[in-house]
Amino acid sequence: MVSFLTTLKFALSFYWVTAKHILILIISSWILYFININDEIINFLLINLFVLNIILIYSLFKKDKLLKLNGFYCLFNISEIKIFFSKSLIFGIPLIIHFSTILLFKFKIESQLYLTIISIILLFFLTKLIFVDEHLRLLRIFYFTFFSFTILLSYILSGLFLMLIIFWILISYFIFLVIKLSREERG
Amino acid sequence: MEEIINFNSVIKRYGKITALNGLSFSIKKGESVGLIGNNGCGKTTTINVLCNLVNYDSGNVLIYGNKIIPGFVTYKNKLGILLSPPIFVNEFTPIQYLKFVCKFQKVDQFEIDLRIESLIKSFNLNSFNKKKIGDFSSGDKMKIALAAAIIHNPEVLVFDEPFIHLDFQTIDFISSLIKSLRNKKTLFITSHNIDLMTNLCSRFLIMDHGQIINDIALHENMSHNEIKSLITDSILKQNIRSINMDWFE
Repeated sequence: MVSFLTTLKFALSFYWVTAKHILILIISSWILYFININDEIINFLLINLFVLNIILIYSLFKKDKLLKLNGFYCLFNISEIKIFFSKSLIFGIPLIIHFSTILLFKFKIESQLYLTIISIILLFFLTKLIFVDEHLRLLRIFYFTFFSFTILLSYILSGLFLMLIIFWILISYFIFLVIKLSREERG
Repeated sequence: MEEIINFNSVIKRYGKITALNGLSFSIKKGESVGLIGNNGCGKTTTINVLCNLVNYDSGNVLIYGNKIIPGFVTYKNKLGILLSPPIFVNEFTPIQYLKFVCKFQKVDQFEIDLRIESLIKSFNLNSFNKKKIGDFSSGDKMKIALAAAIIHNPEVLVFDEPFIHLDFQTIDFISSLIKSLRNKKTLFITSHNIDLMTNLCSRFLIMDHGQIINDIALHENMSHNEIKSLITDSILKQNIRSINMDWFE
């Protein structure tokens, strides 16, 4: 089985050669959210930029679909979970940075709501990592919906402290998955 | 001699179509085996099952004595696989692609550059260092695929239609390469080109409707034409058709 580091390097090279301009746009454009002018047109443009970035991240995430379909990953023993982990790192970090900057600096939302949104994004990646096989798709949707509602309910009924605990549990689980993956690799 | 590949009563269906219908054969170490048959007889499915790219419905496929099941991948480092059409990352340059293939196949770090350089030179691809694979001609793409299939020095070479859509010069190059590997590696090749196959293989499996209908082993006293007629007879026997196209004059 191909190591996680090699898979990550491959994914980075693949996205660099296939979409370097879009990657640069996604990585650099979040700085624009710091523009602190209370002008309606600028705010409107920034929201559009944010939406555009989300669409671009999503389309890039799916860009390697052909490699999956034509058996490239299978041919070279590249596991799907490692590919998803690599893509989550490449796009998850810019996605969270975009969300964080626009929510905290532009919309100036309260930290409890911010933690709720980030927790749901983390939950999305986690459910996909746990149920990586396509035939577990329904189970994935069920788990994501169920736990998203739980997180939303915690936001409505409880305070910041519980949101911090939920956020911490999700982060811990993410770290646990990384450790599990690297142990499997050594085994 | 050690049995490397063993298909035992393998059945593979795609919906209502049966691609492999109780396929059984085995290949021993050092053999060069050609899988020959008409379009749709199940050659590519056989290769895909062997490479674990598709699952089979029943029967047993063993490689080095281990059963191929979904998720079993460790044997693939021992295989040099050339699929038809070859699978690439079209946006990579040949060197970039071959470097990744070396890393995927766990080639020693110190050997990577050396092997790539020698393959690029031998395959006459050195003038295209910065050209993307997608921009190459089909012949050169096949050369890159072949380089990727052999770069990790595998024990078994599995080539699916390596001569398809190629010009004479590339066919000559690939067949010379395969010839040089004969007796050193275990070869399993599918092709429609009976002329070429008779020069490259020592055993021929004739396939029809997902089964092996004839297993022809080459003897020392057999002439090229004798082998060729044995193979063509086997194929044609199964597919006698009458042409009924009076309108086509």
